[in-house]
Amino acid sequence: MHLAFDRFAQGDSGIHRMDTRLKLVGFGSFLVATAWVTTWPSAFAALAAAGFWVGYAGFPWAFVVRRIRMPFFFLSSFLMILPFSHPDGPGAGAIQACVILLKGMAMILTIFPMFGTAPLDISMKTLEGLKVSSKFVAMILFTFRYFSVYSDELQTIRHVFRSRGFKPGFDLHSARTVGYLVGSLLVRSLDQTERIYQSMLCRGYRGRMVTLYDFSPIRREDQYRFGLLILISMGLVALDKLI
Amino acid sequence: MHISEGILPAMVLVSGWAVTVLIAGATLRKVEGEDLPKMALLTSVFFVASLIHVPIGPVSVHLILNGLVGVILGYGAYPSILLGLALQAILFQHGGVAVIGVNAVIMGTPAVLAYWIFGLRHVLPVRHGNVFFGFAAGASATVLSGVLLSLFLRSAGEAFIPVAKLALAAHIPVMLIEGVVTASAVSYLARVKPEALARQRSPIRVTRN
Repeated sequence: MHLAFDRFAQGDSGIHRMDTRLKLVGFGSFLVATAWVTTWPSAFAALAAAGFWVGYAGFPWAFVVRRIRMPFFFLSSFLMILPFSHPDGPGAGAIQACVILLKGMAMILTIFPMFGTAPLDISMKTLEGLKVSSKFVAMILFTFRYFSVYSDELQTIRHVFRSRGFKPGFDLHSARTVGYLVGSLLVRSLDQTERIYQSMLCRGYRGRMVTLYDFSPIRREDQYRFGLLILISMGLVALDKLI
Repeated sequence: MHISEGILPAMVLVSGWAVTVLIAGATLRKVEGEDLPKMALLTSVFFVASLIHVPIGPVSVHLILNGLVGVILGYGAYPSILLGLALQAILFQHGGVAVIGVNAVIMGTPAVLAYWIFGLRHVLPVRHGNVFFGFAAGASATVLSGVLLSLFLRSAGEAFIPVAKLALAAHIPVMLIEGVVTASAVSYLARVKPEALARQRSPIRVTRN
């Protein structure tokens, strides 16, 4: 599991330089438009646009492919199911499966320019600026921070289990052992949360997460890029209705 | 266990978001300063625990644990699961951003159900109550998740009926695993750190000091 999704956040493309508020709203409306699409030409156009942004933002394709492999295989499986299950026959089923595959991949690729072109804390600060509950945003940042701590903890417990010869199978003993594993992970972390919370209080935590980042005023070129994203989104829906 | 991007019609996605914003907003309002970081830390524990894979015959499934999340976090389980799904979509590209709302309904409402079921141990005196209601909570959360998942898949059109049936059937072995894992995790906690379950009466509160 590779956490560092935002490790290409330091690039210098137009998407990287765009104001993060307009970026999230712009790509968000593209996602909504893509979700609305039901015909293959506009689904294909959506995928082309998303693929272009990924390339334009300079993500290495090896990095992208490794991350979209699983959803690709999953969505492709509908190509083998829907032609046999569609009430209007195999042709209609194949087309629906293609639309799903194109749309799904377009929407997953959009995550890269949307959240991969700024450090996670700035994206989250932006969400707060967009009126997402600040409690929720603070929780995201905490969870993200401690995810790696607990995955190390899980590794340790796993080593302990393996060194005692535990081999999981589909039986009562395995399931119970895994339950104890989860339980001990919880016990360790509950003690830790207490200490972490107290040390946070010592450092002046008042129930809000603070970052040093401030939004700069929106520039003219940000407005152009935002306008372009909205136009593309509207174009997708229009193309979908016309065909 | 969750639906991928691209499958569901836009109206379903929008309704999923609407329900999720309502429930998560209502439950988050009750979370006060001190509980916030604790809930977040427990969320990352559950997030890590869901990476544990258990083999079922030739395939291996990862734990869902939404029943256990409900038992420990109460109503706070809903925002916690929403958070897990958001991080999964943004960091790992699992699921997707537009389907977060629907997936939170699929995983989060069963967690709240599990919380209610586990609360029954105060009402119905059963021998080994923690194990019994732990199993019931974990198993029924999985079943409800499976049913919701199938219903949402069905909403994508008639062509998805076999897919929905298959998804529901796949939940039967998972239900057994989730039930046993939740039951043993709960009985372990009851012996080792009972205050983790003490919160049961006052929702949201994670631990009592």
